[in-house]
Amino acid sequence: MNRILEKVIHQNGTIVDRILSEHTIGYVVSDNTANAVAETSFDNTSAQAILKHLHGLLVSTCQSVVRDIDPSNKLCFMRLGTRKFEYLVAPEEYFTITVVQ
Amino acid sequence: MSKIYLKAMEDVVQRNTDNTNRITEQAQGFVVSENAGDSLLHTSFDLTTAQSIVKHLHASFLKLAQSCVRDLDTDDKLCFLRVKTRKHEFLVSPEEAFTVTVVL
Repeated sequence: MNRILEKVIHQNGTIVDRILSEHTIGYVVSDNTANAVAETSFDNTSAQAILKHLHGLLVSTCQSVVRDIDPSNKLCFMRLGTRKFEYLVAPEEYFTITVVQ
Repeated sequence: MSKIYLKAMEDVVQRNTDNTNRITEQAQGFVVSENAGDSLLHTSFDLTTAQSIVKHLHASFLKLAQSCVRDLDTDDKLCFLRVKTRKHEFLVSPEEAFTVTVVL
């Protein structure tokens, strides 16, 4: 699974660099099946916290909420603006990506 | 209780008429609910759709998002929430007494 991730990051190297170079504080990429951190720029504690709360709890609940409101709809992207940060969460089929800026 | 909130909301809308009109032009609709009882205050949708948004988005998901943000950083607080789906985009703004959701 990590080989797929490395290939994707390599193919989109310029985009990844642009995302990381601007106001970004960090990012977490997690594997959906293993429910583990695949790639991150944070330390392990912060990455695990984001994995547990955002990827595990929030994404799954948001997906079911979107289904409840309209069964033919599907969650594509999520942004949480808080006082200090903004969390950009992109749930994909195999990975979930969070960028904190 | 609802009358007090309704009055306060009308004051806010009155003060921000230009913003409200601009938002309403672009949006499919909006839902305003009060936080205390999670009851519907004002909406441009039909009642079924609005109740569905209040029940799922405001009462359930928004509370969870707020607690998740609090868990991640105890000093932090959720100010705005955007949920982009295949068909719509929900913009949720939790305030002290109201929650406003605009659907694009």
